[in-house]
Amino acid sequence: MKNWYWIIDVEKCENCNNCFLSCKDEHADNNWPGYSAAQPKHGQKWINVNGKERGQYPLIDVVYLPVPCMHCDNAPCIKAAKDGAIYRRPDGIVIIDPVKAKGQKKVINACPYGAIWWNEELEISQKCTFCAHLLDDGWTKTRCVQSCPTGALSVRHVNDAEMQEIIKAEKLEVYQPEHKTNPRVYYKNLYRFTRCFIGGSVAVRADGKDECAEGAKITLVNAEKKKIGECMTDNYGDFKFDNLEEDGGKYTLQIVYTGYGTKTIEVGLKESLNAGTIYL
Amino acid sequence: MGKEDGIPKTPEWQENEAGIPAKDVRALAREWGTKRTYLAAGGITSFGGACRCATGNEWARSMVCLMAMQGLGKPGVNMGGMQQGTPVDTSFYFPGYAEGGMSGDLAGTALGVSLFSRFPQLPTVNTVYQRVPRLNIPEAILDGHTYGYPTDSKTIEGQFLRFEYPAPGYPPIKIYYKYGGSHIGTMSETNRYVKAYRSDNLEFVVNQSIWFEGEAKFADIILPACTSFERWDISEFANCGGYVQHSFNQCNHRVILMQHKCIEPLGESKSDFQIFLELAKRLGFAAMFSEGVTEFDWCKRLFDATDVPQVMSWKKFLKKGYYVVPAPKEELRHSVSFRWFAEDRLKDTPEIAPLPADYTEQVFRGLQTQSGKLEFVCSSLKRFDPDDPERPVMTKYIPSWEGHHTTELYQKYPLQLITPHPRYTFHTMGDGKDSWLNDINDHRVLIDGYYYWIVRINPKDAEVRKVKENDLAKVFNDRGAVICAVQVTERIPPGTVHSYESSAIYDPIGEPGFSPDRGGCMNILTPSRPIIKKSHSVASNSCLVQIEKWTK
Repeated sequence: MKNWYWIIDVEKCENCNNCFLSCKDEHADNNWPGYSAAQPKHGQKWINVNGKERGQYPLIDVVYLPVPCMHCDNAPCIKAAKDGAIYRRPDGIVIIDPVKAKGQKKVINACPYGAIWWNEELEISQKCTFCAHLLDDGWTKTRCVQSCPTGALSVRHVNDAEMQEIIKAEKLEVYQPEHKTNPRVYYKNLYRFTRCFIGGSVAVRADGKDECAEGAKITLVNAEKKKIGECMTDNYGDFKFDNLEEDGGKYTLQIVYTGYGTKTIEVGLKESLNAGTIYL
Repeated sequence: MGKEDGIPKTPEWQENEAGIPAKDVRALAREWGTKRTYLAAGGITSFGGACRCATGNEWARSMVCLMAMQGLGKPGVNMGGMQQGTPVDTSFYFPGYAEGGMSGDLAGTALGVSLFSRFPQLPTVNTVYQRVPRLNIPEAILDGHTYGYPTDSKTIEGQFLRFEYPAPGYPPIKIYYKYGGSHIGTMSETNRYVKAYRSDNLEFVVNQSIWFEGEAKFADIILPACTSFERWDISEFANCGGYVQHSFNQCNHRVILMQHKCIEPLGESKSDFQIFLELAKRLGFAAMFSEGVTEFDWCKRLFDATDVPQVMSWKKFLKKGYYVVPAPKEELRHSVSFRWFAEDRLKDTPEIAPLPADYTEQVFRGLQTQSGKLEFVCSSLKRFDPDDPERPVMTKYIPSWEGHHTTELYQKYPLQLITPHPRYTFHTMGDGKDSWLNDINDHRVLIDGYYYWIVRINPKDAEVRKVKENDLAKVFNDRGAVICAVQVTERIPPGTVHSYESSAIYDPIGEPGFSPDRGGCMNILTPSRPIIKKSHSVASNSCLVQIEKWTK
């Protein structure tokens, strides 16, 4: 039995919003009887591109996390809905019945991902349908996946065992696993959104002038004195250690630059940090 | 190196000018100088946003000098835009929009270059030789006089021919027939346009628009045009032709399209062709305008004039709706830009210009500069105006006339506003109009039921001004004020604020031209002063503003 899954590569999303617009094109003003009532023109984001900035000027990066309905295997919305208004199809897709959903505003709060929206005019709850009306018509992907120019969004139609292999091979994760809802949406490079970095720049005084220290060795050590990573600065003296836990406590940066000695710096890590220019 | 003013232009000197640490500039220079460097300075002809500032001219010239020092044209050493470079077939003929189409205009378009002989039609001419630069329309109306320098892509000399408004023997402008309504969002210091529309000097205004946006509200008569879904048309992606030859090379593929009429025009709207035909009827030359055929027939006539019939029949093209021109075979690809120049060969790339007469020494050898070389000291400027302080014959650093050196203004308005082209719309197309684009998180922000334009500010500057994410703020200077939603971001350095230009909505909260706009027309704030007086140019990225929380 094949089921539907999403794979979203956070590293490849650059906030073009083609997914959001194609979703509007497919669903706004269009009723798909049995699947969904028309999405209103404004106010609902069945796929919502969330942005996050990490670091401080000038050492920053920006990450985007597209969030559709997670089509959870253990969906709290299904439990919260009355009369079976929300159900999971055999292929894993979670559907809100546009007729039975009438008046069921409470199901919105059941979703920990904020993926269910209230339609004031029709008085129904609504969300991403995985474009089930298209898949049932022979499509192999959703509209948003079709319009994604970078390949950040993709879907898989595989059996659960195959999916487990893919998850392992591609190091996929679910977003906010603490909700324990078993989402069918998997993310690649999720650390870019959920975890943080320590970055900085190394410089020296040479002949009375500031110079970037290229090729300085930086070692990152955590509070338990465990070596977390090691890297060399680039030609601008910049370095970056990524994939660290937020609120990760104290870290030590050990800097060694041939001819200029060493320096040790302690930083407290709350969120992504630009340690600034470190002079040796 | 400071011979003129005693200030050596060192990496340390530039720290106070640009805010970039000297060590970083040195690292960049070493990286640049020791590696083969391709310079992607900006898009097609205009070199992008960095060129649109008080000293953009010198910036653009400096970019050329940098590449000259690298050996422009040698393998890996070239300049252009990152949007270009995919090999496309330039020999396949399909005209661009600046090639006149069905206009018959031999003088004002590039119709005469190739299309006219392929697409016989009644030639026409605009008998009015008086003209006004688009950026100076308000001066023409409010002051009664202005001047301009044309953009002439045919020859260097064409840029130097000053023209005056009013032209000798011409009356002042009394009627303004405007197609579209984007100027308040897209030109500079645009309260000028609002004031011009409201001036008694302008007796009558017609606006022909699809949308009721920006300027349309100032018209005495609005002629509602239908959308592209309600009329037939034929075109190609990103093909200008004429003044931007081969501009389709911005796309990875040449895509030629049949634009199907999906529905009849809604309401009272009509296609542009139909509107002009109705006017032509009343003026007594309907037959000459339409040549007795419909806009659908014109699409077929244009189709027949192109190379598409060689690869696809009209019926098939109509049914399929598009044709993708295949990339040329490896051996038929064009040679690399400027390689011929670096190797001192005859020019072997396919641009039409320079035309033979523009070469000084030998046709097709060298550039169209008088020396045929990349000139650090420009011969043409030496002759035209050797003492222009705004455009010296040899490029040099000139401080901005609206920046941190303009002390009095800078104290009053300490933030530098940059206004690039918008991310999610093409100019004003797609913005406003109750469209889905308004709901994109980084396009507009919905606050109290109104979709506000976004201004982006560094946390340090936001803190001082007590504004936070999604607050409303007034962005202002002596030219006007715009109310925006605040986005606090580390992507913007302290001292700089960012907002896109091209809002389609002009929505003053009080008297038009004199009150804050909550539609988001940031160009209300940008200077109308050209980069240099002896050109037609825009310096909108040299703009000082202040920001304060808006609580009304």
